[in-house]
Amino acid sequence: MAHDSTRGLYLVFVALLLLLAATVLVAQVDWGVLNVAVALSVAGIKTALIALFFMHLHSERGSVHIYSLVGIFWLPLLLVLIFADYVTRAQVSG
Amino acid sequence: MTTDHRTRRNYLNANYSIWSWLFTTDHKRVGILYLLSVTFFFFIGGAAAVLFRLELMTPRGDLTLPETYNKLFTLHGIVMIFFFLVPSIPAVLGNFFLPMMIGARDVAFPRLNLASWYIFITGGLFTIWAIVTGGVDTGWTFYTPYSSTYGNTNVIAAALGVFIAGFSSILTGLNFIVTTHTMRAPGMRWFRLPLFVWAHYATGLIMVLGTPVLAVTLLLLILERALGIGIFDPALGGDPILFQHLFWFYSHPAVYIMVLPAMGVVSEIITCFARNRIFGYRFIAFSSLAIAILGFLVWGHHMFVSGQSMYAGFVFSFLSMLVAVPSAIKVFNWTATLYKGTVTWSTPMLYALGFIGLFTMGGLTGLFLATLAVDVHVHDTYFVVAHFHYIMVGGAVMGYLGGVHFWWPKMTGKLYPENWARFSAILIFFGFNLTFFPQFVLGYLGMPRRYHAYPEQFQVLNVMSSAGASILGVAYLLPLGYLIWSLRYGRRAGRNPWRATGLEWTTPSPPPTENFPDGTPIAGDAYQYSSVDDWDLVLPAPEEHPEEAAV
Amino acid sequence: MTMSVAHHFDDVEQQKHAATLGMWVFLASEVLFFGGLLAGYAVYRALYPEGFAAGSRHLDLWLGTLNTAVLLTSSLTVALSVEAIYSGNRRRAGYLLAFTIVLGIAFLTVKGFEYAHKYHEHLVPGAHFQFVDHAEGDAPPQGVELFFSCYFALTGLHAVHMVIGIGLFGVLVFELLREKGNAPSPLRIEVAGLYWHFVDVVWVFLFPLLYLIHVAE
Repeated sequence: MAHDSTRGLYLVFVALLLLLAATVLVAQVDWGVLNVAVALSVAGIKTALIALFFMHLHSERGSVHIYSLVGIFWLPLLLVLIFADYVTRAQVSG
Repeated sequence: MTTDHRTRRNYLNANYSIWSWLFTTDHKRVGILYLLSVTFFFFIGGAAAVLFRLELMTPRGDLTLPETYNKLFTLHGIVMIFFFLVPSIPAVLGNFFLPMMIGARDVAFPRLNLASWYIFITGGLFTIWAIVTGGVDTGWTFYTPYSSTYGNTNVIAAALGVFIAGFSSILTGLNFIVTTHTMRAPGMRWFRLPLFVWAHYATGLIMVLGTPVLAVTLLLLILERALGIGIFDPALGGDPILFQHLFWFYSHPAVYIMVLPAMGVVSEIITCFARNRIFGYRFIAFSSLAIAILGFLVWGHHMFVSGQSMYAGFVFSFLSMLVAVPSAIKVFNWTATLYKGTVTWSTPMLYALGFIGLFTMGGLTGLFLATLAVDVHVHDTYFVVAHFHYIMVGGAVMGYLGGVHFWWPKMTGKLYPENWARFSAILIFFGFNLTFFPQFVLGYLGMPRRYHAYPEQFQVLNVMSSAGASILGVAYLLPLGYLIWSLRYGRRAGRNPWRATGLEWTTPSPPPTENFPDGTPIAGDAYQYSSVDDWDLVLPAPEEHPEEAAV
Repeated sequence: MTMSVAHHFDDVEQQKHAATLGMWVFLASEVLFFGGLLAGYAVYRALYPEGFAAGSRHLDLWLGTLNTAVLLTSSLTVALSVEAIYSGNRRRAGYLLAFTIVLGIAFLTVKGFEYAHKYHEHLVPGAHFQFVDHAEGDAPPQGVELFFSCYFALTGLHAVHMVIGIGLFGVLVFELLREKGNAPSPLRIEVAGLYWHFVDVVWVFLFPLLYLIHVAE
C-alpha cells in the first residue's frame, strides 16, 4: 500500500460529499425530465468513485472487472424489455 | 490390484459417521447429499403426476375434487421445477465433477456449498409443510391477483420455500463461476475445459443473475399477501402483469438452468461413445454462453395473451426465434460428432441420443409457441404442456439420467447391470413419448391445461397419455432399483471403464477425498478421442475386473 | 497480519482472487435483487408521475441527505480500516470498523424515526393508509400508495442488508480488538468491506429516486 493512499481516500470522500450537495441543490430547480437524468448521473459518478477507489476496482484483475459490469449490463435488459411493454400499451389504467 | 481396491481410502469410506456427512465440505459428498434429496423430491413430484394422470383417464372429474386436482398439479410443478430440475444436474453432477474436471481439490467455497444444501433442504421442508397443511392451488407460476388476493391456500409458506431454495441456487452458481475462474489446474486453459464445465459456467450465470429477481418478486408477493402493501393490486393502481414480467424474467431462463447442464452432459457422452473428437468445440462452448444471455430476452412469449402490449409481443416473438439458433448449433455439432464415429450403444449413449431427438422436438414446437399468431391458438393448452415436457423431461431428465449412468462407476466405484439399464432407457423413451406426444394433438385440438374434466372426444388421447405415464412411472423405478443393487452386487469399475478422456477419469473410483492423490494433474486438450484405437474396450472387459462381487 | 491458506487452495494469491471474485459475483446477484424491485418502482413511477412526486414530497429531504452523508462517511471508515489492517495496524483497523458500526446504527436510527413518522401520518400501505395532501386539499393523485409500497420495500430491504453488514463487522471488531487470539485475515475485512460499499451504493441510488422527485414543485 502506498503511503499517500489514505490521502486519496479522503479526497474521494470529499468528492462524494460535494456530489451529494450538488444533487440535492440541483433537485431544487425544476428541469423536468432532466432532473432524473442528472440525479442518476450523479449517482453513477458516486458509484464509480466508490467502486474504483474504496472497493479497489482499479487494481483488480479482469475477471473482477467483468463481474463488476455484469449487473450493470443485465439490469437494463430487464428494464428495457419491461418498458417495451409499458410504453406501447394502448390503454394503461388511469 | 484387488486388495489395493479394497483398502484404498476414498471419499465414501473416509468416515462412516452421520456427522461426517452432515458437516462435510467435500464437494463430492455434497453432490451425494443433493443426489439423495433430489431423488426424494423427484418421486414426490412424480407421485402427484401419477395421481392426476389417473384422474384424467375419464372425462368426468370422478377421482379427485377440483380443488385437490389444482393442488396436485401445483405440487407437481413446484416440486419438479424448483426442487428437482433446477438443482438436479448442477447440484449433483456439477458439484461432484466440475472441480474434478478442471483438476481442483474442491470448489472455491466448500462451506458455502454445504450451506447451499442446508438452504435447499430448508426451502424444501417449508414447501412440503405448505403441501401437507392444506396445499397450494395457484399453479407453480403463483400468478397475481389469484395468489395475492383471491387464493385461500398456503401460498405464503410455499412461496417462502421457493424463495429460500433460490438462495441455494445462487450459491451453487456462484461457486461454479468462481471455481472455473480461479481453481483450474496448470494447463487447463479456457478452451481446454470440458464442455460440461462451459455449460455449468453458463448455468451459473443464469442462477446468479436470474434467481434474485424471482426471489424479490416472491418476497413482494408474500408482503402483499401478509401485510397488504399492494404492489400488484389493481385496486391501488398496481399491475398484475408486472408480476408476470418479473416472474418470467427468471422463470424462462430457468428452463436453461435445467437444459444447459443436460447439454453439457450430452457433449461428454456423445464424444466418448462415438470415439470422436467433439465437432465444433468453440461453437458449442460459445453457444452455451449465447443461450445464457439470449435466454434472458425472451420471457414475454409467456405473456402474448396476458394483456401485454402487442408491440412488445412482436419484439419478444422475434427474440424468441433467436434463441433457437445456439440450440440448433449444438444439435448439429453433436450430430456431426456422431458422423463416422465408432458408436457404442451403451446406456449413457441411449440417453444422450434420446436427448437429442426429444430436445429437437421440444425446441421445434417451441418455435410454434414463439410465433405470436400460433401461440394465440395453442396458448394454455396441452400443446404447451407437451412442449415443455419435451424440453424438461425429454431434455433435462434424459440428460440427468444419462449423466448419472455415465458417472455412476466414478461416483460409486461400481458398474450397473448394463442390460437392465439399456432396457430401462428404452422403456423411458417409449413411455415418455406415449405420455406426451398425444398431448401435442390434444392441445392442438383445443384441450386447455389445468382442467380436471374434459369433453368426451378427448378421452382416447388422454388414456394413451395416462398409459404412457404409468409405463414411465415404472421405468423410473427401475434405475432406482438396479443402481441401489449395484452398490452391493455391481462389478467393480476401474478408474476409467469407458476409456473416456477428462481429468475425472484419471483418479481412482471412487475418488479419494483430495481427488488427485498423485498431485495436481496437468491438463491437455479436451476430447482426445480417435475412432480406431480401442472400440472393443469401450465396455469394460470382464477379465480386467476379476473381483466380481463385493465383500 | 496473518494470511492462512485453506486446504483446497494452492496459494494466498489464488485464495484472494477467489474471495474477491466471489464477493463481486454475489454483488452482481444483489444488483438484480434490488433491480427487480427497482423495475417495479420504475414502471409505477412512469405510470403515476404525480402520485410519486406527491409521495416523495412527504419524505423528509434533510433526514435523507443526512443519512446519505452518514453512509458515505461509513464507507470512508471501512476503506480506511482495510488500509490500516494491510499496513499492520490492527487496533486502528478495529476502531475504524467499530466507528463504522456506530454510523450504521445512526443511519438505522434515523430511518426508524422516519418510519415512525410515516406510521403516525398513516402513510404505511395497507388498511390504515390515508393520504391527505394539506397543500392542495383535494383528492390524492393516483399511485401515492404504490409510492409508499416501493419506499418501504426498497428502504426495508436496504435496512436488512445494513443489519447483516453490521453483524459481519461486529464479529470482525471483536476479533480485532480482543487481547488474545489471532487477528482476522485482512481478506475477510476487505471482502466484508466490499459488501458494505455495495450497500452504500444502493443507498446512493435510492436517495435521489425516493427523496428527490420534483422537489421544486
